[in-house]
Amino acid sequence: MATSSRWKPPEITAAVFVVLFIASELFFSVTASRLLPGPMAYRWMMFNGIRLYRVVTVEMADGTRQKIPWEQYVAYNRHGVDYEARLPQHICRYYTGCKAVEIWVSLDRTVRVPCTR
Amino acid sequence: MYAVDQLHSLVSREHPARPVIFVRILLGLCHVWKIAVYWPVTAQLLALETFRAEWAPGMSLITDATRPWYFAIWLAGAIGMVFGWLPTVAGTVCGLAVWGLMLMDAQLYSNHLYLLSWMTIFIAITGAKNHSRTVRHWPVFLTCFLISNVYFFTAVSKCNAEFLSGAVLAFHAHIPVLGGPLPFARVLSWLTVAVEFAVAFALWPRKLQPWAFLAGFLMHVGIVLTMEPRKNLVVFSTVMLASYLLFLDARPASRLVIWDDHCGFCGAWVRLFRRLDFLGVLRFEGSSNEALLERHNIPREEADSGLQLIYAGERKSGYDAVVGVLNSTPLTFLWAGLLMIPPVPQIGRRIYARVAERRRCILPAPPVAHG
Repeated sequence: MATSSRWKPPEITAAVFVVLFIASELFFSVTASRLLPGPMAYRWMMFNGIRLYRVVTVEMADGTRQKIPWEQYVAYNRHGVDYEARLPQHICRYYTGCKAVEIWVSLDRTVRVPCTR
Repeated sequence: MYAVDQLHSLVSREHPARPVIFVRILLGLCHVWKIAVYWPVTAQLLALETFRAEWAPGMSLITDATRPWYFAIWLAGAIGMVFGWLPTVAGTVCGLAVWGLMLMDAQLYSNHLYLLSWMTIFIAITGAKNHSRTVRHWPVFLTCFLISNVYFFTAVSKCNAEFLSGAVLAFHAHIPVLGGPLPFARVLSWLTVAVEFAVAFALWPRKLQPWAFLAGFLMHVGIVLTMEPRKNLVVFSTVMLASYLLFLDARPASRLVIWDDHCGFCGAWVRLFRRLDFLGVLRFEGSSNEALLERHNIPREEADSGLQLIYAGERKSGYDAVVGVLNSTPLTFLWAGLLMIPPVPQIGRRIYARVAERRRCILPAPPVAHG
């Protein structure tokens, strides 16, 4: 068949983009929907990879610490729509008696945010 | 080889420009709205007490110094989208501005922004200018794919015991009846998931589209009326509903409407339909055109007694033709499915027949441009 001879360079670029976009959207949508409850069909791939391993630690007033896997926090949050930059204060409100929240933000860094009530 | 040929057809095909222009304008307006919403939000994010989790250095382009410029450029892009000034550049600016916002706020959960950014970029790639007749089809296809994907995986991710128990809707939807016994919320939850699954597929086949448009329309109106944050949900619903236009068969003059051009009463209706036909999908012809009636095998008495709509090899008459017309215009296609729910068609056909019998066509039909 002479199919390939009909292709022009912009069409090849467009076809590659279309295939990659659909494949990546399907992959990450499947991943997200398997992991997370709530209306969250979308996940940005880089963040998605980071989220899988992120851990939130809650420091209670009595000094005890409690680890909350990210997915569990999201499950608590039910609706799942949240803003990470404002996340610690959300967690503070959720956990009665919580003194501070520690978030594992990268391979070598944990940020501790005191609760401000 | 079949798949390769299909892919080639997809990337080499053209799409009617009018629905894309319509969506471009609506997206531009959504960006203006987003700018108004996020101007104060970014000020809040820049406040010293706000926790910042920058995954990579320099992730945020928005600082105290750049913020006014950032929003000014974004606004210029949004205005460009609305008015069609350098639409590719304007759309790209808006799409990238949204990505910048997501990076700044590290809004991993902001699916609405993610959707808005991709849709804007795809519409930018089409390069739809105000006077364009056709645009590239593949970005339009990807936008449609995104919409289907959103519905399908939203439904998938809601298939969990918590959501289906009704507790989530009872908590989030501000509907008084949901605050009562949980079964109401449970039924609504199951219905929501069923509608989302159905709409994900029904947006594609032409026969099912009116139902999909109606179900999606009612669901999004319900979301906006009952859930928070309303300011963001208005944009989300507008983006989703506007994109339905891209599923519509919008080939120019693809639907032939034959009307009784001896009748002033009918002429008034036809003028209204012409005004609604922003997409230019309707072609109007008078029933006095004998050759046309013969070509489409329409008896004269039928042509004189009711509007005729010929589309996709199928002919509809009277009330059904009116519904078919309403299914194809941008202001009516979302809710025209209501007119197909029993017993509305049965009642509608009777009323149509009665009006058609009793109409007075003494006055000659005012001039209505044909074609």
